[in-house]
Amino acid sequence: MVQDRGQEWLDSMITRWEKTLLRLCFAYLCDSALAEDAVQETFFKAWKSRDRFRGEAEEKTWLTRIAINTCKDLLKSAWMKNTDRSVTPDVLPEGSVPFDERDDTVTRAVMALPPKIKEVTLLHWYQGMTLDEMSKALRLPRSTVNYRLKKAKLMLKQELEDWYYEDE
Amino acid sequence: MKTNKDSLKSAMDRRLSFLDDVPSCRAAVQYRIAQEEEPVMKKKISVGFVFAMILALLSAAALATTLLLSPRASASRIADQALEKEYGITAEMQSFFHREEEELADGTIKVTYTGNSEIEFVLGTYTALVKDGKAEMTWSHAGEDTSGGYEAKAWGLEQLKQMVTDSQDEKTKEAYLDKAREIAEKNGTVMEDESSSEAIENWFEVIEARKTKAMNARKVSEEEMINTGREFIISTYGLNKEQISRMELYTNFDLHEPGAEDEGNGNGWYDMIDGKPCFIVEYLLGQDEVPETEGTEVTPPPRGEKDGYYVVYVNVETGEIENYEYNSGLSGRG
Repeated sequence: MVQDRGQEWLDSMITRWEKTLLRLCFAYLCDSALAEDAVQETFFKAWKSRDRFRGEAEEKTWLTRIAINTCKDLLKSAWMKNTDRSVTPDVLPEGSVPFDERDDTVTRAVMALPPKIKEVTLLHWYQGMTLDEMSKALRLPRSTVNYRLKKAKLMLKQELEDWYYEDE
Repeated sequence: MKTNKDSLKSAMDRRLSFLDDVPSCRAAVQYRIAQEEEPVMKKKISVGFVFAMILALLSAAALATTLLLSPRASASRIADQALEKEYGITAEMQSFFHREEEELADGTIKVTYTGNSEIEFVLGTYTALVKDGKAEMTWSHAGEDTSGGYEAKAWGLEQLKQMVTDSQDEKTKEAYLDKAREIAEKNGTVMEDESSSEAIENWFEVIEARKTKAMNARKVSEEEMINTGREFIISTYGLNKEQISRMELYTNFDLHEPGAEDEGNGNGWYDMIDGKPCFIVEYLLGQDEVPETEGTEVTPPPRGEKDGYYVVYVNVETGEIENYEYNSGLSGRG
């Protein structure tokens, strides 16, 4: 069985981050079953490397990084590249929380972004990560992340003009 | 109208709130951890693997298979061999490249191997012009100095060998990527794939229609096509008996897993490849889990020779092999 201390640590992580990570992975993969797999894998990997984890403040960044890399691995697998089990927001089930057309539009627009652009969009606007945090999480130079972020803004602006556009 | 980070997050949280009904993965994670902690060797045998073994047994006696290859697949195979013969680039190293085929007006088939996005600049492009069963090879970095490891501007076999080694070590697996980007940027190349940035309208519908079209054209049974794919993999990559015994069938695995949900109209493993209706035969060659012993850190099992994903696209009308690929998994960043 899981050691008591490890169990406590795992419980705490799952309680705090499971829902957020599931939404993140779903938005990235467009597939709820794969997203569930990705989240499970994320916590499993996190548990295996928990000794390397340093600092409460970086918890979200650390887990997000594992989750994104897990999603990328899933997408990179030859099986995934040649299989399409994904869904469109059109067929997404109704949730327990009421939503309006704007919510549907913005979710659809984010999910339809190309992977690299979607990645930074989710990290920045959904997970609230800074440029530095994204650079670390994606292991990309800041300039590349910044470029993709600008592109994301541009693409979302086109899609969501008068709806959601952040003019920084 | 302006918005802020919270708006987008709140909107997505509301729209994706149906995911709140998904059961927690807590129990599943705990189960996996408990399995990891057991010091007893557990060999993971999936239903797909069992299915593959049954197929292997059933087909063993009847294997007088003559593999039919399309001109493109045949040209790719000749090009692959020429790439290894002339430049020493093995099938394993090919995972650092993406291969494309193009038929020219005179019937020559042009096969190109271009370095993956981040390493495209340093690896360049290898081109094979295949005609009458022979390949004429060229390299975009031909004549450039490739000595000096990752410091060289052009990377050849020396670096590819190092990349294979580095990719298998957690500490060094991304070393070459950082260096490749640095060299590309120093030489004025922006590492961005512009072509992938355009969202295709009705993408899902387009893919779905393509898959269904391929499935509806089927004249050859799935079992026959799986056999064809398997034999092609074994003969092309020269797998030995031990490796063959570890081949795990991925195709249709979702239909055979216990408790699998109905996969819709069953077109998941079909697609149009170069305009031809194909069935996708996919095998995984991996390692058994390594048992954990008390007091030691869990390490993934070492990669075996020829491990990776093998994919064969079989024409559903003719049974011909239209294309194939092998991904050793070494180029992934994981």
